[in-house]
Amino acid sequence: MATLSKLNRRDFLKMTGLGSAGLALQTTVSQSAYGAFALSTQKAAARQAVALNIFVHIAANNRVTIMAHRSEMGQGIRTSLPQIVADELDADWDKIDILQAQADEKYGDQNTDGSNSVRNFFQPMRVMGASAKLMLRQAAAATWQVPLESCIAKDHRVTHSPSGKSLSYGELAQAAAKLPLPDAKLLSFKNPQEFKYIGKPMAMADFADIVRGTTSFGIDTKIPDMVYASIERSPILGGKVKSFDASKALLIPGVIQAVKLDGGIEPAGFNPLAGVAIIATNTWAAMEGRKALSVTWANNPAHAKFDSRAAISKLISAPVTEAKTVATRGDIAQAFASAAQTYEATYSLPHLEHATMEPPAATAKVTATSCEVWACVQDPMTARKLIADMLGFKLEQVTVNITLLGGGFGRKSKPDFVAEAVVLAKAIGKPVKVTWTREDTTRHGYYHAFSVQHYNAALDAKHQIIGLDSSVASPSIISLFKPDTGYMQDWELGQGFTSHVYKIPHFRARNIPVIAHTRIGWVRSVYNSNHAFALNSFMDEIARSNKIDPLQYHLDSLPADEPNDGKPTTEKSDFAYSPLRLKNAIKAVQKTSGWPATVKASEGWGFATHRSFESYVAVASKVSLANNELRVLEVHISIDCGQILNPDRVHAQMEGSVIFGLSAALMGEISFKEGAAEQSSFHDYPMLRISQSPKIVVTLISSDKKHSGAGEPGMPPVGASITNAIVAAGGPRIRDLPIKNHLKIG
Amino acid sequence: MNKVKINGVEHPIDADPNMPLLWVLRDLLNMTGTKFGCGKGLCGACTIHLNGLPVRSCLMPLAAAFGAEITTIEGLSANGDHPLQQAWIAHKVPQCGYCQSGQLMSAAALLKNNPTPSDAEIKDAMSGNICRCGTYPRIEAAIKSVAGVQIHQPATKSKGAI
Repeated sequence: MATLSKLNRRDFLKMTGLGSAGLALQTTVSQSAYGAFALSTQKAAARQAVALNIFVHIAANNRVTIMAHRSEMGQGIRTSLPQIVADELDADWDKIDILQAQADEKYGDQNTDGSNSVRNFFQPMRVMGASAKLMLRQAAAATWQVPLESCIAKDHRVTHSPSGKSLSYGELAQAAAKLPLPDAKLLSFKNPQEFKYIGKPMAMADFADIVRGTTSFGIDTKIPDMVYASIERSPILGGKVKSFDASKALLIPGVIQAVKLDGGIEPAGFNPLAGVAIIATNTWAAMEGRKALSVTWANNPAHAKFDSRAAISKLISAPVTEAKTVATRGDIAQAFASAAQTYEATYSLPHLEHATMEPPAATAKVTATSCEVWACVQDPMTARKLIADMLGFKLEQVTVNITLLGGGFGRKSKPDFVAEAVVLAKAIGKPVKVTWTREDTTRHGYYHAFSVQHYNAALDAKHQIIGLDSSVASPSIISLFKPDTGYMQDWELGQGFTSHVYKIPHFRARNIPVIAHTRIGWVRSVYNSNHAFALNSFMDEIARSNKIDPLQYHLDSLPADEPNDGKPTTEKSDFAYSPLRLKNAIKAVQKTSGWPATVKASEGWGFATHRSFESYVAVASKVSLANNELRVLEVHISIDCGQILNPDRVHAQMEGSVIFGLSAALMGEISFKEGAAEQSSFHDYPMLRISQSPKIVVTLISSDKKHSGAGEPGMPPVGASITNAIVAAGGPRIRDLPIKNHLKIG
Repeated sequence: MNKVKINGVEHPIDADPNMPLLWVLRDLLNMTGTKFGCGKGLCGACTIHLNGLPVRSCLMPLAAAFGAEITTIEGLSANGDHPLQQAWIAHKVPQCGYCQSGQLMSAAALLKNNPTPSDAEIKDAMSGNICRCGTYPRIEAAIKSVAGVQIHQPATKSKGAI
């Protein structure tokens, strides 16, 4: 729940460095507003104790400052959250300044992850805007000695309606600041039809700077006396530096020194990897120095033989052993005993790397009593804690400045690169910027887990699934933090494996353990993309093998609409599974794509759907297949993500999710041989280019339900929509991604 | 000392002539609008103009810039009002924004040399620039909205290059 309070001038100055007087309100949100995922390591009592402060400040000069406490990586959150405050405040958008918050316990968990920001902060931001507006009106009423009701707030001014006299918010700010906070019961909120900014496609606050090249990303930081580092890291998980020779590197002009980084700790967490850093007067000299460096590694034999393709092949062909039953419903044996028909298939997906366009980069300055860093971090709190622990500092001694992020996708939630800069800055007694190369980024990632899934379905005489027996083998993210048992966590399995959208009376889901041999991380949509690919492929196979239209088969396989749909619901039931919302999403792409559209002989349409991050998504894709060369021609995507704060950014996230999903399905594969990643840059780990980018048609479904995720849920169904379309176009059924291992990509 | 003309201004530069222009710009001149993406000319994030032609500055040695006219994103227009910069905002192109300097420089070079490109020519000219956020549909729309529009010379003193 949110609690509002006034922020005094001294605290405001401390938080922001802004000294101007005016009205400042802060809102405190108890941590119970967060999802369990972000807080899985914290105790419930501690959650309540940690407060989240976000604020609005109205200065005498009429400028309104709104704190953005979430990290910006293109999703538009620095714009979207202020839209809410500005609307309830009736502020003029052109008079709003957005200030990026530093990492601080004050803001609670700032991890910008899990498509959570709008979901958690919509109501607290409204309360803050509405409270400030009421106080400004009260100040005006007191100044003019007139009834409050006659004081109307509009466009950054309060006007006394009978006389027409008016004062700007800036002119009223100091008087308003002296008033007590209004009782929450007195607040009035706008009706949706009165919204001026909420639900409108506001331009991102950073557009003008971006097109001029004047923004500052993590890689752009420059501070006085700074030197530049490039690090040669152990190519194999757990490896340590046995010996190194930097004599040739030191001869390169600009190279200052070489520094050994201890590391290779397991579980790896966010600790630096073992390596040798070349410190130089510029980035290029540091990179050139590395080329002249010679390092001998002491490898961990447990990981040094890892061959990911062999591991996946073995899991595909091996019988199910050591499986743990992770979900069960009905009587699976009975379902198969009474089946009219059965259908069985195994699917696999490889490791992936985030490939943010801005590689990880961080700058650190360390003194005996303080540490300040500048970095592109998605999870600044975790970075701050990590640094404080490393240096033996209290949190207050560590300042984390959050730059813009040149792409995040989950990679920049892992602050190992920040830790490297801190270690080096301490070691050499100078500020250091660490810049990862593309090769570093590709070879030392926190990889999306590979996955092998087996499905066996019992069908009735009408081809409906009455029983589904499934298994999954996939390394778990928990292997980063705890000794690896090989088993996945409940929330990982819950991303579309143990829970899914279909009505299947008899169900068993099993988890086969797999030990991780690299750092496993979360990549956009996490395990959802693996599970959505397999299950959507499987549904399509069953439909086609029985000559049923695949989209219709999905619709027929969903439960009946829930009885309370369309009625007012509690918060909990807003996030409860609604088959009706999924059907509407499916029908939306059915309509825009003209499904079942007739196509040329070498073309075909494929369909897939998935529910994740509480949102409902459907995708229909059209491909052509000529001379074994695949081209993706059209992708139609629909999403119901509840109420939409900024339709333009949700639209952009859908376009981005399609392109991200296509890169993964068509070409995405990080493979390991002898324990090390085989790929290094965009030539062997390619990304979709504009020449390969299809026509994308987005439908945003209007909804009055609570806001749900938009950054991730678009991606999971994309891959299967393509492999399903390939079959429709007369091509092979591809059960093992990426598609480039089977077809030429045009 | 060698001099390099960037956005119409001569800069004396004391550096290894093999140093890629990217790092001269970013580390020595503190012009960070030009981005590092791969260092191999594969992603286009570092695209600048050398005598009006788009080049990947991560592969272009400093020596190649002696006597040449260099234009970077900072010099594409004096006030951030190149028609493409305006179109990028009108079409709400950027997401994270990191690749957009390179995208704009590639697009500006395309239109400078071919003011009315076909769809295929746009895709061809822009296919060297990777965007991980997936802004391609909007990049294409923004370029098309400007194609055929008269592009004025930038207000920097640069001649021959935009």
